[in-house]
Amino acid sequence: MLAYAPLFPFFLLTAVALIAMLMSALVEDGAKVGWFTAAGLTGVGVLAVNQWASNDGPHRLLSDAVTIDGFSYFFYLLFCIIGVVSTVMAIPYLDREQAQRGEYYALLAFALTGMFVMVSSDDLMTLFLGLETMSLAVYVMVGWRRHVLRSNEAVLKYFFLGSLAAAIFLYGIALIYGSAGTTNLVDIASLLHTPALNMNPVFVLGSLMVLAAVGFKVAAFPFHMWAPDVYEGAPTPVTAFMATAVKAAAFALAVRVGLALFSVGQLHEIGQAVVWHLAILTMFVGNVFALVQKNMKRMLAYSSIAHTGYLLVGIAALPDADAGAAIMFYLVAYAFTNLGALACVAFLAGREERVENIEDYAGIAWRYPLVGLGMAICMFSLIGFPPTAGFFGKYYLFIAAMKANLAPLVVVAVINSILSVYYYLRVIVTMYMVPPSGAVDPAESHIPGPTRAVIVYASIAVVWAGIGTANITAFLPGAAPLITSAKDSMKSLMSKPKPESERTTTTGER
Amino acid sequence: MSFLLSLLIFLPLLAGLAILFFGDEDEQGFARWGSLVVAIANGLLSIGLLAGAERVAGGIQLASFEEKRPWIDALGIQYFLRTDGMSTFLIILATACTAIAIAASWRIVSEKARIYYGCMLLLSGGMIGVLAAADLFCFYVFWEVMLIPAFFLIGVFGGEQRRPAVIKFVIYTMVGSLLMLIGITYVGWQHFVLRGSWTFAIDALYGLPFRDGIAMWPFLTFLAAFGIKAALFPLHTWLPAAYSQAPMPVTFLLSAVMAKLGIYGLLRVALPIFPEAAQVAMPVLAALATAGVVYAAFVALAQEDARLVVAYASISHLGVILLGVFSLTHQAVAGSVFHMVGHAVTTGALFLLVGFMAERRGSTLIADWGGAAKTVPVFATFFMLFMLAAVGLPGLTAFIGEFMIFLGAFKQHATATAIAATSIIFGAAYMLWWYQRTMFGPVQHDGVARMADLNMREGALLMPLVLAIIGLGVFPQPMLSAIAPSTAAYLKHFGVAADPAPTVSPTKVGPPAHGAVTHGEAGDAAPAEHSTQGIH
Repeated sequence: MLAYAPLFPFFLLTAVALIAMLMSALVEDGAKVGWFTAAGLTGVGVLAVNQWASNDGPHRLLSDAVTIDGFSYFFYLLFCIIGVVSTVMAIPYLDREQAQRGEYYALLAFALTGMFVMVSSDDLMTLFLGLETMSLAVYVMVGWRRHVLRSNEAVLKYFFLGSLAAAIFLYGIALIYGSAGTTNLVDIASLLHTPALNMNPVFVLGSLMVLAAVGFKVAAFPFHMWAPDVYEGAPTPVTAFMATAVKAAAFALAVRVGLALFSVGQLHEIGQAVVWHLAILTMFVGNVFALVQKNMKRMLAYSSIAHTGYLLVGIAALPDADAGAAIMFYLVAYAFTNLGALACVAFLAGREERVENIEDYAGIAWRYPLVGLGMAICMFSLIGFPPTAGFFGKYYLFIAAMKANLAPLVVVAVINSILSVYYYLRVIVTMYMVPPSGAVDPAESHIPGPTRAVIVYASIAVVWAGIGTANITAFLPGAAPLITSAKDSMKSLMSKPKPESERTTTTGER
Repeated sequence: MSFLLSLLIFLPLLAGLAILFFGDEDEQGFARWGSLVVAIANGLLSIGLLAGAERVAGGIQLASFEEKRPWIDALGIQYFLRTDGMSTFLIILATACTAIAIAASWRIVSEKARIYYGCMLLLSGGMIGVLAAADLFCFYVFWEVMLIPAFFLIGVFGGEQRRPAVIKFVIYTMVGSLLMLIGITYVGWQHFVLRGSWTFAIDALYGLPFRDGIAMWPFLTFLAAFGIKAALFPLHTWLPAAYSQAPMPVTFLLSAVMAKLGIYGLLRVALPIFPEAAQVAMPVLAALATAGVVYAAFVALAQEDARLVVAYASISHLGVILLGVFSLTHQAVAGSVFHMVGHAVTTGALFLLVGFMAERRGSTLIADWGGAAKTVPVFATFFMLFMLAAVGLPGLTAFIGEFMIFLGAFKQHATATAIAATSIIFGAAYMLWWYQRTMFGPVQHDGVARMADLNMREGALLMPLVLAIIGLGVFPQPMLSAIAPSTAAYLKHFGVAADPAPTVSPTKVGPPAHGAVTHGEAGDAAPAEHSTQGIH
């Protein structure tokens, strides 16, 4: 039994999800299920942190299909935080939309279960299971407002394209299995040192198909088309959940799969070349289209695509441990920022999300100083303004890319940051410097407590993660500061048995 | 007082945040008195930086204040502050100008006072941070931190056209600073490659033998950031819009201090880290600076709005300082540092006066004026003094700085300097013409006839500036001697001899008065007391 102790957070989370499901059948008030889920997720997070603090190396379980290491724990914690925040954000939102039902929170917990599997699988089959568990739950959440046309459009689009991506993923796995004879990532990584597999076109094709499916989930060019419609049509707390948790899970998957499939020899070159180009295109597509958006949620969707591009710069810099740590930090920074920004958007949207255009925000900062300030902090973080989290996220990525001799990518990323200044700044300018237009519903003079808490804590986290990235050591018991801790986790991920791999040994020394 | 520098930075920053968050929405007394008290306290504290100065062979050695704490160990980033002869005076300038700017805002801001005064203090803290930073990363963080309050000050409290102006201002600045971020990353990484460890301490980055030869492109990234801030032609186009739309006390602070930070950045960071690239680019840069001097002077002649006259005059004078910076001679560099203070005081004072004009007349258009000297004689007197100082009247501070710059620059860029020196004529032309059109002649408008003269508060605000202009103009030597050791150390990065006193003063410089300046500034301090008298 104790051999399975590292799986306890996972068990607890599943239990929370199942109980929430049962509760929603028995309890009238959906909000109660929401508060229960939030409490349960907090418990899972605490458990994960405790286990992380006393973590004694990677645990390989269930016939090597699952590996639980520092990398997994890092994401467990991140998912729990995002889960709690998006649950708390959803409670007042669903009340306002009169769509308060307990199943929402159960689905959210199930989506998190899938993510937990994704970040700790070492086998393509379990990865796929995790991915689908997450995706199915998120499909339903996207279409939560059943009577809203936009929401239906969003869910259809997301579901069809998502299914296509899943099929491509499975096809890729089949090709990999056909050429390597195994679906276990560690085994594949060690087999890759034989030229027979490394040069095998079937294997290369399979790996690229897996990459394409990941590209869909992170909304990388050219698989990004769904993002604006889905982000716009989904209920705003779901948008927040997708932009943060789903994206983080997909990038964790990208790091894991990328390290296993693309870190050696010819495949490394192919993978890097592909990601290199995708990164540039994704950044430009995201930023250029964001410039012309009028709808705030669509703008944030394109901004999310742009940020995928920045993160791909980090993926291109793999397998450097610093690049991995930078990606992890970026995901944390981006999660806090987006949760804060979308909490503001969710509040300002008003009933049935009628107020979503940026120009409707005219002068609202003076009417809702808290919302204005929170949004301004988040926009500055998205621009990458010190001392916010977004700045340090970008900076660590740039450093990692510079070290990996990717200076041109850094230059492109900076040019894109410059492009992005305009559309983020426009939000702040509209909120603070344009006379009010009165589009925001006057009935909404009161900010609900949970929304207020999310905005306040997300803003504080954004600023704190900027100033205290490295010198606030007390935030995890026994764990190092955030960036160091991400780096340690990355090392634990990379120190798995990979015979004769020079890359692993050199990066292990850093 | 090892924490004096931190105190100077974080007193305004934290007080600014406190006023922003806890200031009352309707009652502005707390915000403005609170910020004024903090600003004055900070000004007095900054004088403490002069404590412990002592006479040494090369001039006056200021005590070096230093603070170092680890920040981000993984990248060798430190919270590292230090001052020297170049930064000390600019810090004092910044604190003093903050206090004046806050006091000058008394009647301009009526609502949202907590935002205004909070942002003023934040801006001040950011600027002092830039001047005190000795770690490139800290430098960058403060550099960006000061942009946010400036953005809100212009965007919320500015004039009619404030939104385009503020967007232009922020985007220009962000383009520069993001490019600089590439440069910062690059030099840190080069240190990692060449020396085996990450660091961003500015000292440690001096003299790195870059792998890419002279590293021209990273130099250009820094140049973009600093050039935009210092309005180096042709990167100056944001400046007139921002300066004319911002509330006058904010323009005062921007022109007096923030523009200087670009020049300070060149002196502290861009040029000494990339000495070879800088020397290659120097003729081009000097030409650009000169072009800016002349171009802005001509544009100033054509302006109809007093705010724009001063804005373009400011660009023109900044060009002169830049020419000095790009000359790499002792007089020119010391003159540039000196003139940064002098220019801050004169241009700043002119902006304050324009602000007072706008308050009285409700217009800054030159055509709405005329004959004001009859109705507001005190105002006209102050105006005359500052206008003459800006023109470069001997005995006032701007003269010393510009003279030293032209003298030093002439050795390096003879043609450019000759052209730039014509700005003295054009400067006199647009200033005197402006003065004549607003102050002399018959009183044409009722508004002018009914105008009230300067009151006690406004006079009291201008007095420190008057004292600075005359004091530094008549007794420049203590400050020049305190700057000299730092400029000498700075010029070593370019292979310019450490102590030029024996070679420069007798042979290269002709007229004895000029030689005396050189001598006193770089050489021993004792005869300098006499020699500066020779200028006048």
